[in-house]
Amino acid sequence: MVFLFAILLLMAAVLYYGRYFRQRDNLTAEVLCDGVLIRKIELRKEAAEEFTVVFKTGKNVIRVEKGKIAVISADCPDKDCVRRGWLKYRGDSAICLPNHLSIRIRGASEVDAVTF
Amino acid sequence: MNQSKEIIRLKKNTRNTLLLLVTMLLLASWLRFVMPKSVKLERESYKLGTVVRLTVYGTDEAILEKTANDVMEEITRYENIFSVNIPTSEISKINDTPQTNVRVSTETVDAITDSLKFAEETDGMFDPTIGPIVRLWRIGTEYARVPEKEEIDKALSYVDYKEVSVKGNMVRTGEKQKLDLGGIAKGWITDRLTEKLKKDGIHSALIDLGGNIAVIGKAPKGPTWRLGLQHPNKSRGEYFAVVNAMNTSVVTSGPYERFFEKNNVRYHHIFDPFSGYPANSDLASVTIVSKNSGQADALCTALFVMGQKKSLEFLDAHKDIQAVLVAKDAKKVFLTAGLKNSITIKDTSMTVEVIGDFKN
Repeated sequence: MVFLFAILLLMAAVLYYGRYFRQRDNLTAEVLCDGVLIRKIELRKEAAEEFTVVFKTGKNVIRVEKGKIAVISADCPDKDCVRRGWLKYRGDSAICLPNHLSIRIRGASEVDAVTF
Repeated sequence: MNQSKEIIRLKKNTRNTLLLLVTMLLLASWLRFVMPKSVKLERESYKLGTVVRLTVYGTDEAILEKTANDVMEEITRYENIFSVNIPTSEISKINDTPQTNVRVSTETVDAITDSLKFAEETDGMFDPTIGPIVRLWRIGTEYARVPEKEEIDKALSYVDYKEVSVKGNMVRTGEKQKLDLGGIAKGWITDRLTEKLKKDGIHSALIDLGGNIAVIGKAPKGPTWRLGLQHPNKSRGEYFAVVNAMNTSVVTSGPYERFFEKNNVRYHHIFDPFSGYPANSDLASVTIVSKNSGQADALCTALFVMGQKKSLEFLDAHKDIQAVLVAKDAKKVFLTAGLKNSITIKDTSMTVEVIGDFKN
């Protein structure tokens, strides 16, 4: 019985850690324009790239590097999204209110939301 | 002979063990299959001049989808009756016809009544007739500017919530007052959405109207929801503290939200109803935790305008209100005793003082 229990525990541990490592490997960023998902980017796999998101109010240039993503330029007045800098951890997010752009890294973070 | 018997017994044992294991695994997967699976739905949209987000959990995706659509439609409906930027809104109608009784919806009456109540409670530090001042500075728009002193004085003479009266469904303003529910609308709407979601049988949800957050129940993964409080000196999304929240609302006000700079002076969007200028506060931010999100929205603005000393006096006189104040240098945090077990300060450079705790 003890032997059986040990096996079960071991299996649970393997399953748990397997999942943990898989999650770490799949760092996914989502880019939303006006609430609509327009790009899903596997941050650890994809090569460095830059792309521009155009909305009726203006545009934002986004740069992807290994394991991180950032808005590097914007034509809005406050440039809140650019100041946010690199996003690299799960739950990190950046937003450009004027251009209805948001980027977030999927997955559980320490918090469910942040006030502002 | 004896030895081989032993081996057979061992084999039999192993076989039984394996059989039991397989049975258990099957049972577990069957349970996973028949138990209703928790589904998460997230929706993001741009309304009320900000980003609104909804996260709902349930078991039926179609129901959640409908719930999210309803919530978004409801926000638009409220925006259409409250916004000062929409000429056909009920607030615009009231503002367009001064010294006249204007018949409006029960919702508008309720929101105005609440805002007058909070104005009274804070001795006008929160004032829903601040509209003329807001319109003069236009902070948050590309037309933001520093008005002349004479302009400010003139606009300031129009700010007086006491000139607004409500009778039944009739609202009347004085000759010059302009209502602007901007300081309470997000919170007030959040309360209506929370009621609606609960009525619809939602047990777990997070409503985020531009950083004005309310939660229903707990997060499926944790014992509570975990909400970060925006760090006043860091970029949006970075927090200095985490609040464990269940069935409550958390709202933060700070000058970092919206501002513009001219000749190296920073002008922010939280106005002092007594000076007509951006409040010269010695606080960096104010967070209110309350079941009433409208109250949290109005009070965090009012306490920011009051500054540290008056805020501490206010909290001492209103022990039912839970708040987190950050001093201007962001090195000191005041927090009310009711929060001390549900908050974790993450910024280790901040010193914390618990206020209103009789045991200390």
